[in-house]
Amino acid sequence: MDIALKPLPLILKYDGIFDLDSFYKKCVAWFEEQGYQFEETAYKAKKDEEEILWAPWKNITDYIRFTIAVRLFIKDIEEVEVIKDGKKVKLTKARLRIEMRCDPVKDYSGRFKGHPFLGKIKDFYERFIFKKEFETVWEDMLYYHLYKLQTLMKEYLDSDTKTNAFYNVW
Amino acid sequence: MAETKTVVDKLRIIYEGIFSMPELYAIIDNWLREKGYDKMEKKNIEKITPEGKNIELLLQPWKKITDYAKIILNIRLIATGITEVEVEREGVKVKMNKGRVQVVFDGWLVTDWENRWEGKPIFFFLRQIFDRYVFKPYTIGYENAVAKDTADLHGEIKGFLNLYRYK
Repeated sequence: MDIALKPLPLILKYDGIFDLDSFYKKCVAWFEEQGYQFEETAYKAKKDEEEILWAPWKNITDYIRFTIAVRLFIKDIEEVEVIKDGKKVKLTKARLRIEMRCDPVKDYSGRFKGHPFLGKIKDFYERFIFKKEFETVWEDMLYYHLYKLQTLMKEYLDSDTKTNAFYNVW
Repeated sequence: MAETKTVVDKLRIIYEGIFSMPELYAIIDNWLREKGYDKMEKKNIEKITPEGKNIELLLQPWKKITDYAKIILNIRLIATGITEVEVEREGVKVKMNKGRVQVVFDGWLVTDWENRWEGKPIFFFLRQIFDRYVFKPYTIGYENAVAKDTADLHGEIKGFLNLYRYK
């Protein structure tokens, strides 16, 4: 399996009150809507801290797989009750740090593995034939996909920087 | 390794008063899209305090000019004490923000960003000779493009903030 790493991650930090359960469900629903196979690879919880790792993936072609890695750190978790639209609602006051990166994986099925000659063919193919298509289409597509996820998160947290002029790039 | 030249260093805007934070961000985002830049939002920090919201953004949008040269704009936006206020504009009550915002711009020209002219000392030497003597008019042109884009964005944001300054 070959991984081409993007020079990210995107870091999103938020310190305030939000609905953690709803936030989680919304993000998971987004991945499922987009056709990703959602995987939660780690969940660590301490007294008032949580660390969650997501690694959703999606096969785009028989050669390219999109993978996204999201790491959520939630610290100083405190349940608070606020009045929203005239009703008492239970929300979470916490410090949230989200790190996101995307990796378009080439040859995810490992069909060029097993023989050094196949490795050389793969190398030639990826450097001289497939390179432009990979950079201008697949890498770019996944890159802006990640920004859509970030926009969703910002909208949910009601951030002042939630607009995304690149929303319809792909 | 790619060579990075700082063409514009710490061009600043400092503003204190009434403005709209979402609109300010939208202006930057739309400008980047219009000018053909790729988005890179490295950091986005929002902290709600009793004195207001503190926002810190680090954007490094980039644009490939050729397969040899690339422009990177380093934009750091720090907004402190952002609170929501209601103002009347043309008889209509509008929600705006009040606070202090500082925007710092750097413009970088990155050459040989694909690292094709690295690896061997002779390649590095050839690249230096070409950059200094053969490609110099092109390099100057690229640097002018960096300065122009940085000044353009700076002017756009300054104009936007000045709209509110006298209202």
